Amino acid sequence: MMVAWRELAGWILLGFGLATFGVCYWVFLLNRRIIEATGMIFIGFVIFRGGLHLLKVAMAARAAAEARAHQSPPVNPRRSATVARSRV
Amino acid sequence: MSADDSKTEYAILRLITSWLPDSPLARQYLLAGIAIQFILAVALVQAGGSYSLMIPALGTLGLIFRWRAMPVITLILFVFFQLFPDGDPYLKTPSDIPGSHFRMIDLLLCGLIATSIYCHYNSLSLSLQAIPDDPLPEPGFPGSRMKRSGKNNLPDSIVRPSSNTFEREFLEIVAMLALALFLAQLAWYGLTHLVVDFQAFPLLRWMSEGIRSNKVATVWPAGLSPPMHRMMIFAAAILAGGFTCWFAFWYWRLSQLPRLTALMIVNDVAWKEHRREMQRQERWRAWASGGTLSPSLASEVREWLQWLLWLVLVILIAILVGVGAALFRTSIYGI
Repeated sequence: MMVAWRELAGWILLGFGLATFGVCYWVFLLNRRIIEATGMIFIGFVIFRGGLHLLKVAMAARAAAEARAHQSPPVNPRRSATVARSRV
Repeated sequence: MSADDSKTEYAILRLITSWLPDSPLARQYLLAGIAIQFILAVALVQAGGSYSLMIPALGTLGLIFRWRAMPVITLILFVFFQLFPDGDPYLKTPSDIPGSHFRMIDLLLCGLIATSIYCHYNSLSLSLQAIPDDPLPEPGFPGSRMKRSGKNNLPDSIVRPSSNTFEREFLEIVAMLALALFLAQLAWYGLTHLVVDFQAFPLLRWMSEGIRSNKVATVWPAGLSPPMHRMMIFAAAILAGGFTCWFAFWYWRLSQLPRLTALMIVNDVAWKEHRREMQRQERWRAWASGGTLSPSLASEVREWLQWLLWLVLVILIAILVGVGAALFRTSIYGI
């Protein structure tokens, strides 16, 4: 469940990052506010990268969890050694 | 007819057809390519270019003698003679390409040149080798000890096996080319009928007939010339397409992550997020168990001072940027 929430948060942050770039253009650059736009672009970039990072972690966590679920149960080395000795 | 006559006929037939490749599909591609070169010559004469007839001539020679460089050369020559029909870039002959779309002759020429190149490469891949090997690295570079099998250390040619071909291959490719031509013409129509409007959302608007014929507005929107509009729309489309493709492939690779890579990413993120807390915990644990890592007060204070210094630096930079922005606005707008 946490993975799904992280992925959703990643997508939302991605959207916010892109929306911030839009705000930079239509609100600041069209009104010739270049310095304000520079700061906003930096903020948008950080939000966008944060979204990418959350998506990456969520997908990696899901892949790791799915691989663990499909893995065969671990063999107890002590027990297998005992079994081998008793067979001998 | 005696046996000697039939043998002679067979020998003559072999002599005539000796330049043809052995593979039936390669022969099909070769002959289709030559036929297309003849049609291309007729189309070029119709289009009004006399010098451009060298394109089908060179293309035919390249097909017969299996010249690998000829498709690229014919393509470059084709583009050159389309831009400069007289063959002289300094004559500045007005090109009608910017105003044209969905013209029959354009469709025909582009389709013919694309099909001839396709036939050339396929014929080569089935008879010799479509693309030459990379040159061997110079001595001293990595991989220079690698030797290729073959006589005199020359590379063996990689010929596409006939078993690798499939039925109706040629027809499917021609249909795909027709679709590509249609899409290209559609893209060109869009490029020549859209203008950039920096004040509008989504930055593009459909060009009115008055602007397009340049009867109403002598100056185009945003003060840009028509080629500049086209160039900007094309560059933006390439950038948007590139970003979309990058993001799609990035997400697809993430969804296909192998287990070990996924574990490595998760561990890496966990380490980056918790390393400071873990380091502090371990230090205190070592101190409590009588180890050598005792947390000295001086080191703790030094660490806090470092953080404080960074904080002050960031605040100072923010204040400087704010003051600079205010000064800039005052000097420019007088507000």
